[in-house]
Order: sequence, then structure tokens, then C-alpha cells
Amino acid sequence: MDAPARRDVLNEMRGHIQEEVADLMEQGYTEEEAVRIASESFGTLDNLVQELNEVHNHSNWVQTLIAALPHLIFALLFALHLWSNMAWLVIILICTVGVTIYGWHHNKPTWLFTWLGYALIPLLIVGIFLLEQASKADTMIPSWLAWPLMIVYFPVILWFFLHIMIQVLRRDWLLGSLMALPVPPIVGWLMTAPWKSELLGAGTPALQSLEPWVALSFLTLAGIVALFTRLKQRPLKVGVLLLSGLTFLFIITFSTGGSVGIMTLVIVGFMAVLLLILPALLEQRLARAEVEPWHGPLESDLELKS
Amino acid sequence: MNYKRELLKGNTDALLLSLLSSQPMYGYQIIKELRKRSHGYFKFREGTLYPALHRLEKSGLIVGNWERLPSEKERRYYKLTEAGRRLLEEQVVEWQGFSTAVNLIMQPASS
Repeated sequence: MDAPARRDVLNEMRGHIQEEVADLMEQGYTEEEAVRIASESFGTLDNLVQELNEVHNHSNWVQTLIAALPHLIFALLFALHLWSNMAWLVIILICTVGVTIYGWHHNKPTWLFTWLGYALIPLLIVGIFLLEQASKADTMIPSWLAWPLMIVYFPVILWFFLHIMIQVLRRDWLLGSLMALPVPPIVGWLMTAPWKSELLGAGTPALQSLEPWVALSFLTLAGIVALFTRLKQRPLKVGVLLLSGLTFLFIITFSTGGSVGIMTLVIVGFMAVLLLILPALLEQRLARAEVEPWHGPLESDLELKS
Repeated sequence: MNYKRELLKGNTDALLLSLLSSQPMYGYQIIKELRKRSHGYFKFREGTLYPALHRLEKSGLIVGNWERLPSEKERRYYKLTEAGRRLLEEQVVEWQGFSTAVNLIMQPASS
């Protein structure tokens, strides 16, 4: 549920309880009794929250398609052998950042978070590039410049990532996991394919055999995201995200004919589970650290997830 | 299975649309009005009402608007949309046919 909708729901419930309490007190109940009766009339709050979430989180097919689109674009990039074409990469990057900024400033709909994941990845790649430049001789950037750049870049990026992550976790940790969905495949393929030194160069025959599999893994992510946005119940959404990690492990194993190292599989599998669990743990810590603004009978229990 | 609860569940939307066809109402008012008009037969729980109202709003059958009271408090009033009014007319016709048929079978002597 987006922030304005959540605020509306809470205001509506609060107003309802206040009016009911006032009515009950007029009938002779004490304030404590009136608050208890009014709160109980809402039934099980877990059920109410779940039902409201199901109503507000239900995406239509257009929103589902927009959510799955960045994964589909990456699948097409590899399926059409365009992944090393710098012009296409720049166009896609500009579009991704543009869509992300638009979504961020328009109530942060669910579809935004898949785009956000891709929009943040270039920042990580720049960090890796700087790290490489600083640690090697004969690079594009002299090491005397690379080190200061790195010292400035990493704290700024870390602060930026944390800021984004806190905003996302305030909405729902599941969206944090949705955002991080492309990370295991990207890391997995980087660890699997022997093409790191020629990442954007022409003539990468070693990768050509893997291209359909890379495309398939992003296509799978698109399917996972479509399922995620269409499903209403949270346990099923969690299940679908877990399924994405398992599916990717299967694709990577099958594509390499089982020759992929066990260490790669363990790292990718661990990362997939971690990216699902970590946002949930961080959200709990964040919720404990933040002081509730109003300790009414609703807010103390009613945590409306998006 | 609670038969009354199942009946109410199946007709929640129609009852809400019907109530809102007379005038815009807010949540607490709807609960009181349903209880009053049904002589206490319908005791809607808030946990049932609000998801139903929000679902109807998402479907475009009703629309909710905040209104500020002289006391500075705000209430969210729901009113029927044109689509909601059309659906209600269909449901009223459907319900009349259904209830007549049920009565013919369950109370043959009186019908």
C-alpha cells in the first residue's frame, strides 16, 4: 500500500474509533471500556490488515507488465546479442533511471521497485570499476586519482543505498527483496562466464553459448515478478521470490552441463536466500528503532504493509 | 458453516450499494444505519466493512471523499458512482427474482 493510501486508511479507522468511543461514553461506559469495545469491534486486526492489503496491493495487468518490463528488456538484450552494444546500454540506462525517478515521485507504486533495482546496479558497477582501477597498474585512471575517488565514492554510495533501503523498508521488506531480485543472476553469470576481461568487447564466443540461458534467466525473473504482482497473499509472494533463487540455480547448473563449481552454486544460493531474509531483518530493526507517533488502539497493532 | 454469515457475506456489496444509494455515508454511520434499518439483524463488523468499502471503491462502484467538519475533524464519505448505481439496479432485479423463487419453494402455502 502506498503512503497516501496508508495514511487515509489509518485516519479513517482512527476517526471511526474516536466516534464510537465518544458514543459509548455517552451511553455511560468509562473511557477504558469504550476504547476496549471499539477496538474489539474491528475483530482480528491481522485479518483486517491482510484484507486491506489484498484490496490495495492488487495490480492490474498493465502495472504487472510495467513491473516485469526491465527483466524482459534484459532478456531481449541477451536474446538479440545486443548486451555488449554500448548505445543500447546507454539508452536503456537513461530510460531505467527516468522511469525510476518518475515512480519514486508518484507514490512509489509496486512496479517501481523492479526498475529501482536495475537503476542502482550501474552505481555498483562503477564502484567495482574504481576498485579495479585503484588496485592495478596501467589502467584508465591513474592510481593516485583512483584512490581519492574511491574514498569519496564509496561512503556517498553507501549513504545513498542506505537512504533508499530505509525508504523501501518503511513500505515493505518484500519490495526490498523484489528490488534485489536481479542481483543473484548478475553475480551468478559473472562468476560462471569466462568473459570478465572482455565484458563489453566484440568477439566473445565463450558467452555466445550462454546467451540464451542468460536471456532465459531474466525471462524467468519477468515471470516471477508478474506472479508476485498478481498474487494477493503475502506467503505466496514470499514463496514466489524463493522460487526465483531455486529456478536460477537450476538454469545455471543446466546451462553449464553441471560443470559449474559447487562454490558458485553455494554463493549464489546463499545470496538469493540472504537477499530475501535481510530486508525482513532490517525492517524489524527499523521498526524497533522508530518511535510510533500515536499509540492509539489501532496504530499499536495495525501495521499496514504495502 | 454459519448460514447467516455466509448469506451476509454473499450480499455485503449489494447491501452497501443499496444503503449508499440514498445518501453519501461514512463508515461508522453505515454500520449504525445497517443495524437500525435491519432492526438489529445485521451487525456488521468494522473488519468486514472497510475491506468491502475499499474493494467497491477500487472497482469504481463507489467513491470516497474526505469532508472537514466544523469541529475540524475529517470524515470519509462514500457515495455511489454511476457504475455502482447501474450494478445496484441489476442486483435488485436479480435479488427480487431470487427471493421470490426461494419463497415459492420454502413457503409454498403463503406464496
